[in-house]
Amino acid sequence: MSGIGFDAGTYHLVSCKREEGDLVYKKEVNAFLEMPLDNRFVFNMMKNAGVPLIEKEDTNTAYALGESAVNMAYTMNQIELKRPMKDGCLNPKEKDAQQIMNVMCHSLIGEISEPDEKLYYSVPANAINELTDADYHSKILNAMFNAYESEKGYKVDPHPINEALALVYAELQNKNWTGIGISFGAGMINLCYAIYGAPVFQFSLVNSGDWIDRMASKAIGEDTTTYVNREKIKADLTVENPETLVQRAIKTQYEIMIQKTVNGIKKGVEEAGKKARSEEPIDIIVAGGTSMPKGFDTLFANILDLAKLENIKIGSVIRPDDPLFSVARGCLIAAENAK
Amino acid sequence: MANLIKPGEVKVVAKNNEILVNIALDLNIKLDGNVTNITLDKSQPFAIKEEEEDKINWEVPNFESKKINFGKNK
Repeated sequence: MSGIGFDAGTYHLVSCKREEGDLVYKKEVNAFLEMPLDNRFVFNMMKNAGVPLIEKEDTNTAYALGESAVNMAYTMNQIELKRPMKDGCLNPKEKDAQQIMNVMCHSLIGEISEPDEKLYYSVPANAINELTDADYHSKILNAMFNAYESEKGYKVDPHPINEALALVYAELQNKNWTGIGISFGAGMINLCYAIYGAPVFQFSLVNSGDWIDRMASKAIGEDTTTYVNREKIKADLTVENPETLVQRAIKTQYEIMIQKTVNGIKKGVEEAGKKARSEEPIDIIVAGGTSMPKGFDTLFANILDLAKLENIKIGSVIRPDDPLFSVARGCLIAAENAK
Repeated sequence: MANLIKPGEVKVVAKNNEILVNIALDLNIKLDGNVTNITLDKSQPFAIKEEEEDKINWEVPNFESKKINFGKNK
């Protein structure tokens, strides 16, 4: 069985393959910096330091990619990172950014061992609280993956899969793929309630990690979101009254985000009616980069508890050990079982 | 007494699934509060410009296969 799973996230890009029975992941940050190529010395120094770079001679521009670009933006506060995706979807106004993301995606796939290998890539559902175009996003990603060619000339066979459904595939095998998967990414929250692997309802919300960064930055008077983005990783959501202003701002935004998600579940269950019923308690998987702070699962369970959902029994709220890699693993499982 | 505004002199534009209605009126109001005249201002044509950020090219670009040393293994 072979195949490739690809989590095309707003902030993280993750590929997943199986090599000799072991899962192999490759991850990078979906961001870049644009620099004029005037100073060759600096460019060569960066190249020697291992910074992933793309050179575009016709416009005399260089691009630093991935985590290295984030680190550079953190030290040079006046530079804002460029992001090919916004609110969970490719930004149609950023044509150059799409070309850069194409290189990033092909590089993360690396080499493949057979022709027309199945590749499942994650896509969001259209958001219920903002106008998004998940179909356009999926088409562009499909074009990117269709352009891929290995050194031996092998191509991949790309297919989209809902990001939250991929999470159910990855984490709920022992529950017959029945339960709720919620992927808290940078751009979006994607949610899917599936019974035996078939979606009962799915939706997405646009207010997720980037929104927390923006709102918390505004609250503490930061011009850019880079500082809050870093502080967010260190957040401890089990602390009732965080000491610093930034941590208080982050926790407040987390509470608002989770409350909106729980409201969405409540509405989804009500609308699905009988279809949402289950004899057994339903486990909820929470994953994605925005679910990384300590105590996220506990905070989610507490807020969910207060909502008192009807028609559905909730089991455990589970955050996988590797919440950044679950979606890519679910995409791989879909690819392996598609034959 | 308000004057009748002729239909057809109101511009309606559909934008992002919303209807944008632009009406320009000249109101002449006396100090005693009576409205003496209401006319549609025809002197300036309606200029509803598409905002720069609304211009989106929905084409799917051509991509080429290109790989660099990028990505960290878990």
